[in-house]
Amino acid sequence: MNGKKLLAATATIAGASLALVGCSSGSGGSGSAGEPAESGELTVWLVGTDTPAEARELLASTFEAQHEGWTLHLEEKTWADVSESYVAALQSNDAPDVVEVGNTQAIGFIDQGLFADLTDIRGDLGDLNPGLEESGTVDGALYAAPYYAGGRVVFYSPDNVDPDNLPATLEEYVDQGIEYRTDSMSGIYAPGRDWYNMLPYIWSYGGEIAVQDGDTWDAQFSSPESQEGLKLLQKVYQEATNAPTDGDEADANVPFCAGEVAFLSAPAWMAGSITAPEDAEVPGCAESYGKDLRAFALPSNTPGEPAPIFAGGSNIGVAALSDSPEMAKDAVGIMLSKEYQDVMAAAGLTPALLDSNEALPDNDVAQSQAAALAVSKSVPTTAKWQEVESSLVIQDSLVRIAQGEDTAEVAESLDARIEEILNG
Amino acid sequence: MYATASAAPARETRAKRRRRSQSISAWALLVPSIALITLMVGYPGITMVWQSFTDYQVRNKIQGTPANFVWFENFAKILTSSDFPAVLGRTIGIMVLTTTLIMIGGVLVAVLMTKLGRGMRLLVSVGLLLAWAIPPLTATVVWGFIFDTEYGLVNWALNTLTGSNDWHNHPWLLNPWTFVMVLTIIVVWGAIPFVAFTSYAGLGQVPKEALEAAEIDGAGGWQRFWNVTFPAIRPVLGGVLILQIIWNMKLFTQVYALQSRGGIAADTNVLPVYLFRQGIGEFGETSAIGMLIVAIMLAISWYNIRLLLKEDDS
Repeated sequence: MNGKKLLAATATIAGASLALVGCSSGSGGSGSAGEPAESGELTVWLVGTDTPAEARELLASTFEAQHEGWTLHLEEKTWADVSESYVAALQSNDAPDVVEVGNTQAIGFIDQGLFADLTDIRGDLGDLNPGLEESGTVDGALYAAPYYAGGRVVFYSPDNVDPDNLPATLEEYVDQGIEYRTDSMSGIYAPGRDWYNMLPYIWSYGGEIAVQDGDTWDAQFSSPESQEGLKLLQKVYQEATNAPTDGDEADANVPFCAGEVAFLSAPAWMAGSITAPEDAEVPGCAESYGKDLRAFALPSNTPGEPAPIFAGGSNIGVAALSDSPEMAKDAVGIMLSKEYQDVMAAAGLTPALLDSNEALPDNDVAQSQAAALAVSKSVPTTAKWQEVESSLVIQDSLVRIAQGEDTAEVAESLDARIEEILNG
Repeated sequence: MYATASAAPARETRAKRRRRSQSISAWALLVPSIALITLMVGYPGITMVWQSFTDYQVRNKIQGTPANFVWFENFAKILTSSDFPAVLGRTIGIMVLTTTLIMIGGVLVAVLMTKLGRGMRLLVSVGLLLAWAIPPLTATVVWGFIFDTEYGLVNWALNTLTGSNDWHNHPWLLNPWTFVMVLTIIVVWGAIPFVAFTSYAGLGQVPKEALEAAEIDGAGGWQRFWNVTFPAIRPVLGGVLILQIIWNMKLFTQVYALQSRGGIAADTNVLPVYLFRQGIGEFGETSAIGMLIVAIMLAISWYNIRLLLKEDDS
């Protein structure tokens, strides 16, 4: 190979590698770790629009008043960011200081060593939601403090649903959904990828996602109990909904506000999106279907009792590589203060601080959320769970069920995949 | 004869000296770019090779602990995993499909531009430039909305055209084949401008005399293109082809963004997205997948690279 050839070949290989190797963003870290500096900037990442503006202002102003010379910079991330982008940022030397993560995701970040130990400030934080605290605790040490909890409730507008004849059991709910369905109306809005809303169906019949047997996980979607739930869900997909088979739940407020949905099972904070004014930046339908928005807790198979729902929520962690961990911990303290958590509760979010429960609004959205959360359950607690979520195997399987494939076959291959990941 | 024999050594040393001083200045000129390539490509490249043989994770970086050397464990795990062959086949299939359409479409647009008047050519250039300037993510969001199941333009248009309701809620992304169709439209639409502009520049280099001579000799339009124009622009097309193969093998943005709109991820993953879905911080396994992608790309483009080099030599 002569020089020219070699050069050309090198350039091609270089080009190919350039194409593959992602560039890591560099530098930018300011201040030295350890000693709190006289002045500086603290970066806090919040996810989505759930945290109300009032709370954001309260956090910044309280922090800046307590620490003269410091500014608190808030950035809003999306749930799609809370995985790879978070990991990339948290391991860099330009890491954010405080980050919000989903409660089921916390353990993955903790396992990779991305969060600092918060056990030393735990004593100052008061009584916290026990389920969320468990999500952020590993080997007795707290790494991710609870932030708020959220549960799913079933929204409806009296324009489309008879409020005096609400379903008392899950099967009745499905039957009513089928009755309400027309060509232009989903009785139950059930897009195929909405897997959080699938869980109550299998849990109501006593099914599970996966159970631990010694050191190995045994996935349970093909158990007889789970199968009963999945068959009922398939009935919903096929007879009660017009939602896209491969759609997700992200913008469910849009069809609801178009008057195309009778029952909408969605996170309680969705109420804010639905009741937003028509001319808001993200328009809602305050004047039409959102005007008299009501909600109830999804019923279980026992009349009068709510179905077990997925315990959603958020935790907040301090980056292990934060420039100013002490300042970051102070910010966590503010976010769990009574004043701040009261603001969160007033916005309809179930507060992490138990003392703030009384600040919850007295409407049926907040009340049915509280009732549903009381019997809520979560996903398997293992660091590998996040890999199950990012591989989208559950969503893929539900889409197959929604398409009419046999629930037993789909569940069998889903169980195999989940076990491959959790035990791999 | 004697004269040449005695003069030869002197000429040789002079020539050698000149060559050496030339090569010194050549290397001096090359140093900055070599240093830059080493820094930007060499270091991450070598890191990737090393990581692919270890179980390196984010944890090791944060805690400063060394990773374990696991030899070919990562490669074995990937090559034996149940979904890898399908992903590989899909990646190559999509690459061949999009590259073919892009190359043909791009050259056709370039030829069209040579035939257009000044005004129209300007219009086409601006249109191409705008398509080229739109970031892939933006383009995918816009196209994804056009093909949206509930509120998409395509379903509405098909319903209106056929006067029926057959296309109501038609999920374009659900069927893997129509998913690939939508993906192909987005990728080809976004890549044609580059090929068109490059080929258009190449077409300007085709000697007019040769074309005229061929015309006088009675060659038709197709014959003139195939026997005169094409050989002249072949080096340009060869380079563009390699770039397209590389770019279409590493499609990420469009596939990932479309998957977040609909479809079944397991049926539509391509290698780069598959790599991304391995879970957070699994540097060892993901590096191994990266190594496999490089190896496959080199294997595919090797023929073209050799062809290019041969043309350079002659």
